[in-house]
Amino acid sequence: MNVPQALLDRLREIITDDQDLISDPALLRTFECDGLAHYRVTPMVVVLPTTVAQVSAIVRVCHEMEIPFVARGNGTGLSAGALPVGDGVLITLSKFREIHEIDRANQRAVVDPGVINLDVSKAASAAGLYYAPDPSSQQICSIGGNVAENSGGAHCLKYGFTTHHVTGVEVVLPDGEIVNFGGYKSVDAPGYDLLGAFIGSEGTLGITTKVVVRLLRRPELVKTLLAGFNSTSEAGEAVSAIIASRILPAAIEMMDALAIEAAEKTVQCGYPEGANTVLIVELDGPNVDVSMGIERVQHICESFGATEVRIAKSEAERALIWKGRKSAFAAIGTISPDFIIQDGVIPRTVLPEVLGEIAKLGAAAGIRVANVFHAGDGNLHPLVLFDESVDGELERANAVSGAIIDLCIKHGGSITGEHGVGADKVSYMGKMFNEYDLDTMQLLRCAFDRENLCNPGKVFPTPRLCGEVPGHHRGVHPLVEKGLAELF
Amino acid sequence: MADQSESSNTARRVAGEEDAVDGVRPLHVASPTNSHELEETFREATRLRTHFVLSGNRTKIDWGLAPRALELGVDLSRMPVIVEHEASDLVVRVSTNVSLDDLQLQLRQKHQRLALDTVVPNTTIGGMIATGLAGPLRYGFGSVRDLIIGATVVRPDGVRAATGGRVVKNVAGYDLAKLYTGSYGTLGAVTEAFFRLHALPETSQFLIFDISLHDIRSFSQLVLFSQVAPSAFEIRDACDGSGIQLGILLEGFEASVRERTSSLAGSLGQEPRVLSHPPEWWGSLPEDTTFKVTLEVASSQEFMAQMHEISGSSGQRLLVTGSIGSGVLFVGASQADRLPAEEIENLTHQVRSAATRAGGFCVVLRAPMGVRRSVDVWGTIPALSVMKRIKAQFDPFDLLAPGRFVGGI
Repeated sequence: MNVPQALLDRLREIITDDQDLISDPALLRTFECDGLAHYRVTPMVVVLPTTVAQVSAIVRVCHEMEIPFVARGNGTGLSAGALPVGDGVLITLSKFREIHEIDRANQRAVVDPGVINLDVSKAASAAGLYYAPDPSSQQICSIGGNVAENSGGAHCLKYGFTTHHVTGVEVVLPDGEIVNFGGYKSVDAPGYDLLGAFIGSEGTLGITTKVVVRLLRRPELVKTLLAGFNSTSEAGEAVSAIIASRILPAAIEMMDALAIEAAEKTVQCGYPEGANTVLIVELDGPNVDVSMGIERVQHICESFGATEVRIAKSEAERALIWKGRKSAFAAIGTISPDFIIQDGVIPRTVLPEVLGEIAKLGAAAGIRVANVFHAGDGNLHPLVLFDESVDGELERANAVSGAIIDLCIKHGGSITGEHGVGADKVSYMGKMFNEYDLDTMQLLRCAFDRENLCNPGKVFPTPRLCGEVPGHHRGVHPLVEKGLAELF
Repeated sequence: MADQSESSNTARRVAGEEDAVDGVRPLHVASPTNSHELEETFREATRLRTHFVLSGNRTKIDWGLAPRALELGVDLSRMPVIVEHEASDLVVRVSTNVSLDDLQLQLRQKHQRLALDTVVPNTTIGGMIATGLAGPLRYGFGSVRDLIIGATVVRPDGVRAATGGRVVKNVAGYDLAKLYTGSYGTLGAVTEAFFRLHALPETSQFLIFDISLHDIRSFSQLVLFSQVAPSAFEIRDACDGSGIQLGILLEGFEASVRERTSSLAGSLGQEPRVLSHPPEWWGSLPEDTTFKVTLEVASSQEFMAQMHEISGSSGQRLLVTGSIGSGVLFVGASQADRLPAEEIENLTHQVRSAATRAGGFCVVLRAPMGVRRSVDVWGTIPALSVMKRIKAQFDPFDLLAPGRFVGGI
């Protein structure tokens, strides 16, 4: 789409370095998608501001000229949440990369939104601290994106999500005003919890330009256990028993036979021979608690029929256990030419039942489904396998993938546990929430963005986006291929 | 004011003195007994432009400011009682008219708890959500906003809506439960909530250390960087030189609690008093006039020094309690209501200035009416314009609890 000259002129007044204002169609195409590459829209213009004043000025221009805009971090999201708008401006925060402060005494870090998640922990490690939320893309995803998506990770079972670890944000509102939400380094700022409302709003309420995060001290001891089971239901019962035993593990992960097969083929992780399902349970905290807790978990696994239980005795053993799990998504690419990564949540207790139903759905459609998930909190990541070159397989895979989300809704769960709604799942919002629920959420949006210019077309269903199909991945994710990310 | 006799089937009565909200008496009180009646009551109030205020057990009804206008009290205590404890999922669905203590009793049967303290006796879940008030356990488990995972609300226009859900991990849609938490009932009624639960610990032990003012920083840093994983980290200081107490709650396996107790005593260089039950001051608010102060945790010593100074110079006796580990303190001024308005104003200004210097905020949490009318209860609020726009969206006619909250909201 041609860029209005008036817009370009005004943007050039703000962004004086030509390289940071992109309108060349060939270059624009670099920004046409995020981590869910199935959705592609070329933006009208891309800007790479370096100061909050510039972000504010750009947004003011967009607001005045009624031009939609989308903020983008590192583009690793899996719900097309940073999908550009064709007649809009894409504001990339990738030049906001400074870690302003590691405040050891207050256990806080003040960082730019473009800072990589893992780099916060690296910078804090000398102070004996780390940043707890660890989304699978933590080597490449940015903190600003984490704020937008309320990212979790394998260890959020114990530690919670981004919303529990951010105490302040600086935000450019959709009209260009710069405001601060939260208490900066203190908590409980008076008034409405704007911080709580903003985190997880998927870039629809404004653009994050600075983030204050809580840092935690490193745990004294970490123990990782691997258990093999003959069935997912036995493993599921073991998970329930672990939770009921008053232990709160840092992570409980589960993989089924197909996922194990793919992982073994790819990284030779040496999981228990012949296991139909494996559980990975990690405990962290004070020495005695972890040592006693892991014994208890071992006993539970054995009493629920585990065929083999291993506790990592060294960091290398621990890394190998996680390697199998971490490689699972990418490994699927080796056993299937195409696959859809689904993200849904169910109450943990219905896990065996839902897995049975997923198996039936797959069998009926002639589609294989591998299951890899955060079992502790019921966050499923079914991988729906297909071959696009086979007539009708894509449609059947999409149908299975959609039916899995319907199962999540039916069982009182959620259509997304961590990937977000983005553009990908807007059509499911109306299944999980009724019109009044959505209308009430829109009240909040209207308070921030009356003109609907800030990341339009995301989160909320609109007629324009009805009927779209969930995104699918072909082969290995490009970021994984480049060694830039691991998928959990 | 329109005639309330046009009302639906919801029980209404003429209001009495006991129905006053911070000295403002409504004309009528409606007591809906189900969500339909509640929605109808709100719809009608909106249609007739009736100003209304919600109440539960009325334990904090005089917090915030008096409503600018009030014709109808809406008593939520007769709404249906719901407690659905999904023990295996560590989740509870609860109607907000249930008292926190009653809820805990039920959860206890399955060895679980909502990891929030009863700070004000007899408080309902609704009152706790409305004020966002949390006690000592917030250090280990977070505050109300951290543990609420879903809610059903009735907006001022009578529309019922759900937000969040019954699963802990869920990023679908806006997190309106957090927006409603701490909103002082100005955006609608929260009728039901879902909370994340935790298992009751096998053992709990309270360690009390006596320290002096100049030890606050070093002691608190040692605790914050220790590996003992406290569930709570509290302070109590009467600001009169009688000594400062730090209280640490350790929970978990018995052997671990024993081990962590001795480890902490070693690193702090002091044998604590070890109690199996909380000391009487644990988790309660100072009496009468109470400021809620938030601050950066590393600034607590400077803040406390200023409280000592104020306490010595103003003839006021201050009492400070709260979660020093989280940076949320309660400063009580027991004699404030006897002070002339000018001195109350001065005291508020001093405490607020100290909080600001410590990187936080200060609000007058509760105080006799006379005190609250002579001071700026809420102080300066960042992003107030956004809050006003939110209020205008949810309550365009400014009917629900007008003027009770920050910045005239």
